[in-house]
Amino acid sequence: MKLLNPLGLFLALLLPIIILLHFKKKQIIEQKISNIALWDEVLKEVEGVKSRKINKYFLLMIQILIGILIVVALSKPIWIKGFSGEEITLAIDCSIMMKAEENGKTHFQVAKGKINDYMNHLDDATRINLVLLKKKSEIYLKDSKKQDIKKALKGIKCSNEELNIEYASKFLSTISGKKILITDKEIFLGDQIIKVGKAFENIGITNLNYDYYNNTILCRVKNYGKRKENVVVSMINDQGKKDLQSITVDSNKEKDISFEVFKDSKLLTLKIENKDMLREDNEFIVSLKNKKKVLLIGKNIFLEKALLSIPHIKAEFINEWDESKTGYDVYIVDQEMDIEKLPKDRSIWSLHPKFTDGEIQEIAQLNVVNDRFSKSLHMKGIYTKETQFLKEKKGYEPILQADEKTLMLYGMENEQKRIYSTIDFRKTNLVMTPNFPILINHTIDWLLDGNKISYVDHPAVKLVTGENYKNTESKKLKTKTAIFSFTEIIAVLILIFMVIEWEVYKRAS
Amino acid sequence: MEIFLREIENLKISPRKKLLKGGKGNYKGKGFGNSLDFHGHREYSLGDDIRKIDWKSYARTEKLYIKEFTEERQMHVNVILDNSGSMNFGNPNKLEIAKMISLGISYLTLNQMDHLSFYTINNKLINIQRNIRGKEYFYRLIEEVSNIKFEDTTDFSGIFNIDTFMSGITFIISDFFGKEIEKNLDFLCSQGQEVIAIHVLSPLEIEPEYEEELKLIDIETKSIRRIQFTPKIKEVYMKKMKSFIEECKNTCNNRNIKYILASTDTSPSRIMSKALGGV
Repeated sequence: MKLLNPLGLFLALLLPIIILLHFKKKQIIEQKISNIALWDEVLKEVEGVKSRKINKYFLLMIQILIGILIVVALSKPIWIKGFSGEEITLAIDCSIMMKAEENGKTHFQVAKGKINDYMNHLDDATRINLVLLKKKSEIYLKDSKKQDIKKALKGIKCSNEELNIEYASKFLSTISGKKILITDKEIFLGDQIIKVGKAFENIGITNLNYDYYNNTILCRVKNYGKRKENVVVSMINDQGKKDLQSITVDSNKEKDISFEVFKDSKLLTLKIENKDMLREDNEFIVSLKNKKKVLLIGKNIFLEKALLSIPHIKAEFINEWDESKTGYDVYIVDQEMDIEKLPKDRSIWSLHPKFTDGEIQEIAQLNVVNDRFSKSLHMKGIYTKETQFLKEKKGYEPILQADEKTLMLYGMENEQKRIYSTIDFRKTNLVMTPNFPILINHTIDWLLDGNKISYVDHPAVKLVTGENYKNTESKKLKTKTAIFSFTEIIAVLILIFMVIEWEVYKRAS
Repeated sequence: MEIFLREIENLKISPRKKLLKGGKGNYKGKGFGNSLDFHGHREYSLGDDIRKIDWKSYARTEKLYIKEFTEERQMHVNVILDNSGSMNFGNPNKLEIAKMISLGISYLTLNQMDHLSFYTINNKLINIQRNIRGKEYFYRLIEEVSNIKFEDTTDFSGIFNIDTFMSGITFIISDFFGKEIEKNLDFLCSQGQEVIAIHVLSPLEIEPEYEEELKLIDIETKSIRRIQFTPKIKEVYMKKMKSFIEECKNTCNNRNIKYILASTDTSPSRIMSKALGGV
């Protein structure tokens, strides 16, 4: 057992005060009374109760015990589980949630303190790895001495990224030796956990969306806390005009709140006015002027018209790929080209994939087979012919099919959203129906993650991702607490002894 | 004092019972007299004063009727103030509150031109003022009452020494920590007195808050008891005090005596309103 605050023991010097007060209380005080006869009757009635002396000292003992427990609690006793190996990995959670403030300190600052406490317990010869857990967890220091880790810790800052548990788990599994996770979340990675902070009482904006037709902005608010909260959200435009709305959000639930956007607004700031633990997710700034940009490479009149009909994007068209054309949110390629040349962090729709499997010769009925894309579509009487179809691709789902052959599919590849399609718009009547712009709208929506507006400034909208990772539950059983604090247990003991003290005092006759 | 007198100015002392004895005055007596309050007619009988015959009734009925009017008598107010040692207790002091109440009653009595007798009682009865009437006596009374000291034990048998009682109201202001209270209340009632008992107690007597180790000293007898003032003792004491108050209340109620519990944390004007309300 170790004391985090040994100076707290100096308070033990105050313990004799309890004894002094006890005996001072026992000093005889002269008290004038108006009628002794009544007191005589009282004394007669309580005569025969002999337990007074025992109770008197028992009370003093309990009081001293309470005093000792208070002193010990203020010294913050902890128990650190021993480690005798040669290599240990300390994985500190650097995700945005660790910026949550509690008692004037962020969880990240508390975590740094706890790591230092833990390292004090390790041998000087122990090799320590320091891992930073965030969206893409990374190793910060490898095989280092504890002095180096302590120095490095001072310079490490918490990120604005979410924590990807799945990635973190995979990353930690590649590192050998014992792994200690330092986090404020109820997650179970590594061998042992050092938990910081208590309940996460926070409200955050998780999504914003703009309806270009109705000129309204939709703000999604999440209550991460355990209590129902009344949330006040404000919207301020670039001219300083402000609108306020309040909404009640249940614990761990999300709710939408809609604002009518002021005329001629270019920039909007959506802000949660409530005070909470994490300030970073309380304010979103969005630009209504800068629309999402879509670049169509190649000549396709049907697609051009459909893209121009979507109000929340700015579509541009070029005939040949030009490397200077960067900064677009979606690239649509309607020509033979290597799509790997396109930016890796943007979404791509390729209309000339190479993994085709044959051609549909006859006229075939077209079907949208995926619910995500089929909303408001009526595909009866929509046909295609002489179109190549696609091979099945791992991690991809079909969107369009004809004759049970896939003509369009979507999926993720190296964290990049991709759509492949082989349908020839000149050989289908789809483009002649209202279904076509709707399908294109759904496709663009998926490629843009449903975001119809451009954010100027906002943190991670999700604080934790990869939560459904299969192995977390099984690891839950194996993971144990590396630092155990006795303060709470002592606080409970103090309360129990205070109740006993009161009962003894009450019964003392 | 001025504020206190202004607060009670609107109160009035008037008897509930009809007065039996005393000179002519402003209050209803038991018999018939020459007041303006018409009581009724009765047939003339031999020996009646012929001046009282209602000749108008005779003209109508040809029978002789006598007109009767209610008798009006003077009221006498007796104030008996307990100045035993036990009244020197608490903050505010019980006797100071009792003095204020007794002066208030005296002021009202003299102000409404009734007769006042003022007594103090401890182990003996002392007559401070006897049968005074008129406001001019009040200022002398204030001086005399302010000089009253707390001393000796309480013995209510001194009340037997009051030689004559005129019809009226007797106020007893005391903590009732004394002997033979029942007998003396019986005596007062037998003298045709309407009695109002004002029981003065300090909040510290009703619910004591003391340190643990105590040496209790009786103010009157100087007797000493050593006790451990534990919650248990406190609980028993409060139970005893409650039953003592109940006993005093029942003693009064059984004799048709108005009982008022006057805690010293209540203002004297409020205590007086309670005592005189409905009298």
